[in-house]
Amino acid sequence: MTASDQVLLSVTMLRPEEKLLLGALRDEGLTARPLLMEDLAEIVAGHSGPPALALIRNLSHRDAINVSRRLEHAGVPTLNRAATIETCNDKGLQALLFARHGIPHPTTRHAFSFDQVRRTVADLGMPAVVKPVSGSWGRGVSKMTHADCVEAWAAGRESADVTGKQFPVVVQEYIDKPGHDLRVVVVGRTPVVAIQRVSDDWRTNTHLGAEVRRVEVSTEMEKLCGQVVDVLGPGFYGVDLVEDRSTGELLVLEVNANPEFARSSAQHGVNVAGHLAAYVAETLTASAV
Amino acid sequence: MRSGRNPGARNGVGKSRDAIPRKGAMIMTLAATVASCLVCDTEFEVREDWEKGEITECGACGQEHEVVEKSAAGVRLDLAPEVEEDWGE
Repeated sequence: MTASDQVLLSVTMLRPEEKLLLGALRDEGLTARPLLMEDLAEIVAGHSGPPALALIRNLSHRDAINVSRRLEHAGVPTLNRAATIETCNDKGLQALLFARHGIPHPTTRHAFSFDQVRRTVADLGMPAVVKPVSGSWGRGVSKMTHADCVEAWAAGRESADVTGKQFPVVVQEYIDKPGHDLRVVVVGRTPVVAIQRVSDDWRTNTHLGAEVRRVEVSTEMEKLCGQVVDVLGPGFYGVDLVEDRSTGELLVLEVNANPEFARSSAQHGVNVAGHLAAYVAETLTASAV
Repeated sequence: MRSGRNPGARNGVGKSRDAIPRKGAMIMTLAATVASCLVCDTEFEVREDWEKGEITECGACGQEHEVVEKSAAGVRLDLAPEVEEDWGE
């Protein structure tokens, strides 16, 4: 029998985000405890009553997918769902999903070899952006402004990956944005806060030093987030949007299934952990009815 | 399957590489007492509000430790995992 108030918080390690979440979940009257990978065997073996839900907050993408898949197969619902995490952890899969469902997204192509990268960059026109399909915090993201950039990128990558096993990458149309992008945090179906990430760098990741400014959630942001939730399902997301300076159009750049919020919450003042914990409690109450 | 374990200390102050603790070099301590850093042996306080998975830093050498087990008997610490290439949002 499921323990209807027991929530597991699956982590690679417990960061300030997860510490906030544990407190918020307990404030909702739930029994919440951290789950490290080593604990998973006992849970899936059913040695104790299965928890009502597992929140997947693993920093490691591999671990996030491993844990969520195994829990789901053991009958434990996860937030986010394993399939959603898998999609969000792959920029190529996201691009395919967005294209299939008409969600505005920069033109994005897969490339499975160095020659395909060269051809695709030439085809899209420069500048273009090359990204590993899986990666965060701006790592490995390169802007190709002329042919020499492509050759320098290829030479560097080839020395680290002689056999090309780390392909595919995605080649993406470069969007000239107005000095910032947007991050909208979605809980369930609701955008709970939006921030601008402002930087002089063309990459506006907070890990690379971008400054955070809170903005109102506009109708357009709400609409795009709604489209994302329609295809991924309700969950906990950091939806990154980018405005094309030349057209004013807002595009979905990517969706993160494990958004960080501790540092930005301190600046924008929205209790993201509280929103998420309340959503978890509502979900469990609804499923118990 | 778990990734990210620290294969060695990030900051092995004053120690040869061989002296640096490896994965699995855990310490067990009783609740509400002190633990010793796995790298420099400096003692630091064990806090009652630590949660499993939490990271704590040695004030002397900066080595991060992870709380890998917490029970009535005490806590077990290991070297904290280091950033891996698949970490992210």
